[in-house]
Amino acid sequence: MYKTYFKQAWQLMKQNRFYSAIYIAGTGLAIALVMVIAIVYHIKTADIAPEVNRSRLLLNESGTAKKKDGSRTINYSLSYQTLKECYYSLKSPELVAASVSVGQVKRLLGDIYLSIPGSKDKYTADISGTDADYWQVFSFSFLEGKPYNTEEFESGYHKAVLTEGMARKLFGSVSEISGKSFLINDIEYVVGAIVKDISPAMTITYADLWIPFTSMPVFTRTEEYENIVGPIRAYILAHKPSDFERIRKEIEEKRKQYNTQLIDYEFTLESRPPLSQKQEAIRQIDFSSSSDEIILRYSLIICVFLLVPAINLSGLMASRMQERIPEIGIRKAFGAGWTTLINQILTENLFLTLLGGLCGLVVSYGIVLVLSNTLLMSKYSEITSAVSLSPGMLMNFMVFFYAFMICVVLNLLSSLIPVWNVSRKNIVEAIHDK
Amino acid sequence: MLWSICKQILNRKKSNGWILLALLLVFCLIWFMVDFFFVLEYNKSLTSHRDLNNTYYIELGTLAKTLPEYKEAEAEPSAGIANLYRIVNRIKEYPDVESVALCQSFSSLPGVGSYNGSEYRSATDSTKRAGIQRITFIPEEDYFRAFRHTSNQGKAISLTDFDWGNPSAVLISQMVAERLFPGESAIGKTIETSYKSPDAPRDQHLVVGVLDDLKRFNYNRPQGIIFFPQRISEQNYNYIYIAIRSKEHIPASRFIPAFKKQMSSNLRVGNYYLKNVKSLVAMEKETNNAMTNMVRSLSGLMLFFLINITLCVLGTFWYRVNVRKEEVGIRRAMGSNEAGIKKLFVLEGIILLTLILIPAMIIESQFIAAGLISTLGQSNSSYGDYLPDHTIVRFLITNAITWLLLAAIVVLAIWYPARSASRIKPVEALKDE
Repeated sequence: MYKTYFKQAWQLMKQNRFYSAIYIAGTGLAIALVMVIAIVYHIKTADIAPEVNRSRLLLNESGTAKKKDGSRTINYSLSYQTLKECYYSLKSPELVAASVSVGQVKRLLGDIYLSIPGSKDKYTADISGTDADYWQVFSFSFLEGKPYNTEEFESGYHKAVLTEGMARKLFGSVSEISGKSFLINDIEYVVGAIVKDISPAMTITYADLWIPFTSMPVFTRTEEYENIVGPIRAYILAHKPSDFERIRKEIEEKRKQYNTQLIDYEFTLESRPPLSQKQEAIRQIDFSSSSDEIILRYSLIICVFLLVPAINLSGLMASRMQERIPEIGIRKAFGAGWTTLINQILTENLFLTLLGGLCGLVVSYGIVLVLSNTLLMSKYSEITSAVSLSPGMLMNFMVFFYAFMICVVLNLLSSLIPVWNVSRKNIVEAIHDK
Repeated sequence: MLWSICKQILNRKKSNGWILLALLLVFCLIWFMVDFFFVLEYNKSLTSHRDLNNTYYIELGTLAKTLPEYKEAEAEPSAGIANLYRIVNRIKEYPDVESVALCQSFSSLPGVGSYNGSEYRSATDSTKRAGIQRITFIPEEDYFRAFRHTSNQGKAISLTDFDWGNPSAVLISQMVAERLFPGESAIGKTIETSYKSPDAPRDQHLVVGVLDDLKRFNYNRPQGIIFFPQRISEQNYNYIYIAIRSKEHIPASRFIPAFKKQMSSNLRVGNYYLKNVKSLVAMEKETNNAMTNMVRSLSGLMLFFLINITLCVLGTFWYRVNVRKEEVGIRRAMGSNEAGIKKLFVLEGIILLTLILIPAMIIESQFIAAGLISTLGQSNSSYGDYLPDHTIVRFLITNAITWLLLAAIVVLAIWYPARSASRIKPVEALKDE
């Protein structure tokens, strides 16, 4: 039966080219806009390599040192000492990784220059400092070599992991360079491994080059405020997302225990408790509002984006239904119930909506690609290179599913009232119209 | 004719209902954006009373202590200050440099959007007070000439126009003068900080001149400024910022690379080196970027809603023309010409748009009452009479702009269906029946 509906819809579309074009353009426009939001949300929160475990990840990106009498608060991230005391010793998570972000490294090191001993050429790079478990929590694709292991990390061994692009810039090739040495601000490092380039859209893992943060004292040496805060962020991998509450509780216990050893200051997480990637993505939109407010605001925006086109399309539908009243009258006269009629028209309409959805999806890809820097870069990011997007980030089941669902919602919103009006019409009146 | 159109609209209330609802919704949304752009453009049109064209920020770097070139002796304050003077003199000798400006702290550079200020009050009447941005300049160079500051709404000034004999002499801007000393000349008066630390006397300053107000962002209103002279000393030599004005005719694309090339080795003095040269115009643009992005997204949304309403009007009227073929045929047979038929449909659209004007204004006023419309660029140190503060006038202007914009869209969208209607041959149309 649906096949007949679709055939009929196709015929109708061909007969009414002008109407169909307008209808498809209207739907496409609405879907394009909402899909831009959906795609950005997807790229920021879905499990995409190397951040394949986002759904199981708790982000502890900040920490606060507070004087016990309340007279001073220092908001920063974690120190190496705090990391060891409160995070590495956690029992409930699967793994705990830690890193110093590209932005923090820039702030602490100032200008960064890479060079090869004996060569005059200097290159800038986005460097991130990490621990050894970082390579387990995140899934990088290694082209050659191995990253630093736990012993190398703990001893502060000068070993680095480079991206393909950085290796090509520095050494002119990407093969057989593990073991070669180069300089970061005149300090010698050995290449451990080469990985594929990372898109800056991957906010946690993006860098050109990774080193153990123990290899530079500026990341671990934090004498002030009883060594509580520092530049390090912890990424806690849970066995499953439902463990988050248990992990938060365990961190809380560790924190209290840790505070008993401290004298004037205490370690708190009040400025930002550990968040999941989804919560973090929402928080990044606007620091000053609560996540509920942000969700409400965006839901309202999406509603308006869909409502305006839906009213427009309803208007078009209503005009069109006027024209089809005789046809509907005859169908009714032959015994079609109103459910059958509504069903038929909705299906016909869905056909047009889906065509519009397809156009809209293509347009939204275009918008995301053109505006990728504005849409995907965090407002406060210090990364300057352009955001690159892989086809997998745009074309995948989830994105298609979002697009289809929006089509269905839009279809229902726009055709229900006009169709309902028409299907209730009296048979005699309907046929008489002509 | 108008009457008969109105009657017809009433007769088709069902299909007109949709179009009216869509128009109403879009009208309110577009009005919101029109209002934003109106205030933005209004603020942009206010002059900034200084000129950043051909000015550059000369960024100096300090060598890292780990580098072999780093010299411990050059890190001494006295050596550092001497090196700084040496650098300024070398910059002045560069042939394409017209003048140099020196200031203390980043927020004293123009166009960077950074704010450092406090509240000041009149020393004689402590109820007269204002929050003011501080600019601290180094009086060894002419900061005011370099950035083309003005007084009395546009008169060019220079450092030497004022008497700096008194060590506490400062300049204030027009707005500060009007707020602290209304109705009298501020020159020769004393101002002081509203805040007083318990163990020090209040800072007092003698006003020796009044300058025009400045805009912190180009989409802001001008705001009050106080200019402090401060000599280079051991306390501040690490926070000195150098800016220059190049000679008129040289574009930034040529000046910057040439300056870097010729001066890099020249400015490698002590532990200092030339890190970067940035055009202040470019830095100002960067400062305004947040707003530029906002303007872009709002323009995008506006386009989205406008296309939507175009499609809606286009589609609905196209159908309407088809349904009303008979009527058009009769009108043609009765002697209406093509232009008359077109006019009929276009007028119908305009009347529909006008019908929603009052309900739209009622909805919009609810927006205003709920405090959802904030006026852009009002900072606490703004003062004066600006058009966007007159809510009713602004409301009428922005609604008129919105109506005109949508009227243009409606006419555009109806034009095609109306043309096809006007071409209907009376015989054919009536044969249909």
